Amino acid sequence: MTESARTQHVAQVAPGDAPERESEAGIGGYVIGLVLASGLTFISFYITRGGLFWPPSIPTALIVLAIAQIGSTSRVFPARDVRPRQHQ
Amino acid sequence: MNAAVIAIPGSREAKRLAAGYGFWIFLLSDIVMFACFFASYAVLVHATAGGPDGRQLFDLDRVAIETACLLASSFTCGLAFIASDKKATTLFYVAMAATLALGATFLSLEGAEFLSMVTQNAGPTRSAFLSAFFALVGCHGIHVSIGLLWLMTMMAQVYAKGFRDDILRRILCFTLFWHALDIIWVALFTVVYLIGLAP
Repeated sequence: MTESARTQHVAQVAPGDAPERESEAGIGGYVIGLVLASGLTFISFYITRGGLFWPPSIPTALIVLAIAQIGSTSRVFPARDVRPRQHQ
Repeated sequence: MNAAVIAIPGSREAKRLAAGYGFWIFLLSDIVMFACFFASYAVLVHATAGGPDGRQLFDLDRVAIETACLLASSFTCGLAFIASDKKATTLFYVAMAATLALGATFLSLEGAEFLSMVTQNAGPTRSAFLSAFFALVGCHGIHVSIGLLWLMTMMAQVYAKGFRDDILRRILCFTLFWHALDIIWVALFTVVYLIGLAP
């Protein structure tokens, strides 16, 4: 980090000042997360009903799908917001 | 370039970061606790003591509806967070009310499931499997119940105090809590219901 970057940031966010926000960054990502998680969840329930996969492979497939669901659900985590915001 | 960004100590940004970080530590400890319940369930899942097993007790359609409710509520909760961020009062109330309705639907379905199991003589005292089942699923259900109380508290606080900085920090923590419950439910319906019913 350069000293000028630090100075620039400090100059733009005074204590108690409302930080400027990157606008509309949220909802698009939330919709992508919802669509991905819904699709993967549907696949999980579908393969559980049987007929599509070789039965002994189903538990493993379900666990892989669960990890993918957790990943896509995390798109709606405000966690992504739990970091200092960058101000242009 | 990812320029280093510094939150000035004592600023609202620094307080928001501290609240979010601290709440993450709580959430991770909660997840560790759930991991223990998952481990005991995995160990005891076949200890049915001659009683019914998951294949006889679980209803996949009900679990699918419960899952849809929680997934949709996670989305509406995210909308409420965005609304609070932009101080959009009406959207906030609508999104929180939707989250409340979906969470309450989830809880009533889970309550109906527990009730039907207990009336089939498959309550938590029937076998080690059922003790582990009720402990794990019930613990998640209690979390959702507490989450709903917290949700209503946040609506009341926004109504009474507006989008003050401290209220916004609480909304951030609530949103984190609600999403964490959704993530635990993903693990739960996969491990308990889907793997329990898989052919």
